[in-house]
Amino acid sequence: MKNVFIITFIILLSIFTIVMAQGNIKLNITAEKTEFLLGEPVIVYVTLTNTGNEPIRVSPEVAPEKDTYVYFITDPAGSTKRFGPVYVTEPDEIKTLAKNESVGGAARIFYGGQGYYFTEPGEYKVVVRYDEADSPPLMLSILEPRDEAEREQANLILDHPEVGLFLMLEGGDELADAHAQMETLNQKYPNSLLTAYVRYAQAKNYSVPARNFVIKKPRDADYQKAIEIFDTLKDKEIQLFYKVRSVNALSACLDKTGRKDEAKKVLEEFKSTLEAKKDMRQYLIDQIDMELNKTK
Amino acid sequence: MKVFIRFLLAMSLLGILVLAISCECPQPNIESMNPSSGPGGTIVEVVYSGGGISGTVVFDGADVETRTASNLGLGNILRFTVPYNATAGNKNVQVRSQGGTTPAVAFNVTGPGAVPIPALDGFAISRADGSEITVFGANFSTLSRVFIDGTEVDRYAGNSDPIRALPFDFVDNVIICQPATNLNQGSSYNVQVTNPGGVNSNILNITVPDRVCRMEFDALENIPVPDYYVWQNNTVNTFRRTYTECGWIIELAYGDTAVVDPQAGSAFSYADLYSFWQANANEPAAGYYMHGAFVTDGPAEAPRGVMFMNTGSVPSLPAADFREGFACFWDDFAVYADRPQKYFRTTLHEAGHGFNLYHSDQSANQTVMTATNILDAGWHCYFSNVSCTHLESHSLTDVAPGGTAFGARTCH
Repeated sequence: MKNVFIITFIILLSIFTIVMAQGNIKLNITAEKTEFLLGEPVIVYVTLTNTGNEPIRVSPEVAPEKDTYVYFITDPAGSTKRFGPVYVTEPDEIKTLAKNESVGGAARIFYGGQGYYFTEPGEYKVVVRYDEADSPPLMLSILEPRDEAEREQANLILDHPEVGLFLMLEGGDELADAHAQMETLNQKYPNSLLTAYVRYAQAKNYSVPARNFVIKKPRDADYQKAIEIFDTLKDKEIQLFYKVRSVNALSACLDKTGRKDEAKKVLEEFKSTLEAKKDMRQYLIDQIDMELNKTK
Repeated sequence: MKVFIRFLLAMSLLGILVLAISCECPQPNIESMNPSSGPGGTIVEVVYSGGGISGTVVFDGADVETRTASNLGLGNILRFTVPYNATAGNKNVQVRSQGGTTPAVAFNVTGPGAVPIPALDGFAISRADGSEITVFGANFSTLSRVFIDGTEVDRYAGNSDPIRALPFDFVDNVIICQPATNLNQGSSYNVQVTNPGGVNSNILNITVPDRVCRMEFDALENIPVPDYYVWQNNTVNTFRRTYTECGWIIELAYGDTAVVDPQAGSAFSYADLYSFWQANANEPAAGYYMHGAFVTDGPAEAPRGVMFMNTGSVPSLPAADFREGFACFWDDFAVYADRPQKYFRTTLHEAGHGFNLYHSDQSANQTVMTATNILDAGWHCYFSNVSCTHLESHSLTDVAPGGTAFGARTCH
């Protein structure tokens, strides 16, 4: 009887603590998949819900670069790090949520101010915090490379911070080491999943002008080159976050080269694909809609 | 480098002096006077042409104490205070300079004025050696005198390092001074301002910061670069003031402030910013260092400022480390009536991230680190207590640029 009382007390205390800590906010964190290749960009999705009776004002921008949602990553050895982004920008939006309303979005948490965060195979735990509220942990597995080829691909990324920087900046003409590693990936492993992510970043880089103050070689956007690369990504199994960004950038490039009908078509086609992804559409559909609006 | 710059400055001054002595100057002439009427105590700015490299204002036939807008004590923009006991009526204003005395321009005195009580509300130290102090407050004039621990100090007209004139709008709120002996880091002093007739201000007890960060600013051509003066919430603010009051001396250095934009008209990408930093930052061999970039439109997500980390290998900055760069985007404020204020606030804020400050270090008072999305018109140019405690008392590893990565600080 005494044990039952103690257990009940502990359970009630735990519930009370959770309620006190989280107030009127419920946070949830998820990912498109739970297993990632070593070296693969890890994208997580966050939902914030107003569980109180009164409206609340919250920041809907969940990217760690906005420094409003904070991410904690626990590695397989049990060491927890607060994710520090490569750059910090200002949150722009504020949203009022009525009772039971939610906001959500995607966050890139694979590379930050301390370098790569998923550097070895194993089980990782990710928690997101907003104000005083913490999400339940999201468990992710980073897979052991299946062979030497996979290991080499991972090393070409993880041993080279500039590749991570390039993936985060989605550009950087002057990052010579990044370009060297990415070229090796393209040459040796043109069809691999990791190379597809790299090619996305390269295409994104070509889709905008580059100032390149370092070696004083400014470059205009190369829309045609970007379109060619984006086209090769259509059938790749990259995460939806990158699919959306690829389609949006591809549409913008088509639009800039006068192919307005095609620009609209790729967005509409992808939107119908995304509509079918019931778990993910809520995080990404707005981005497609925004781009579609631009084509009107 | 600093010694070299001062040598160049000294040589320039010498040149100017030689020029002045040997000047066969044209007859001076008053080009403008602002305002042209007011009671005794009105501060007036006179701009003259011709003449020599400086001049003295003659008011109603008598020389009056004259200050120049330039820190060098030279130049053709002069300021003076109408004598408090001046009687009503039109009075002649002239400038005496090399080459003669200008024809008179009428200043309409509307009546004698009372000497106001000066009020001190802040300070800034702009050099690590403590050789320059700026005091902030109200009811100052060109006749106000500044005392530090009871000893009168020399007044400058404008900032040095870099040399900048004090805008006329702020002459009654700002005095820049050279102490009789340099102020020591970590030491406390009593500062007081006295107006004519022995009208004293409150005594401001200051402690000179003992943490120093050198900031190098580079900018695209035609983009404004701090440090300048900004009114917000009835207070005059400068970049240095905000940081001095939380324990840091900010030594400003200008790199290239007229960088040509090779892709003018297109928004800056994050990659562009990174390359701007790498190309333009000149990290000193020792000390804490941060680089500010002042550029045009930001990335498509429309941030108004960015603090960025060094995580790649930066060939041009082998010693670069975390939190050493930030950028502000002038054009992103184009639609706002208070554009200079917002731009200034963003500069303070982004540099704050460089000192490892989080948005969560904000306070309810809408202080410097408050996230932009929840600001309204009532924001302040000072740090919250939490931010200030971090800046002035947490370990330098966690605070100073070059220390722990953003988000990885051990203090809370």
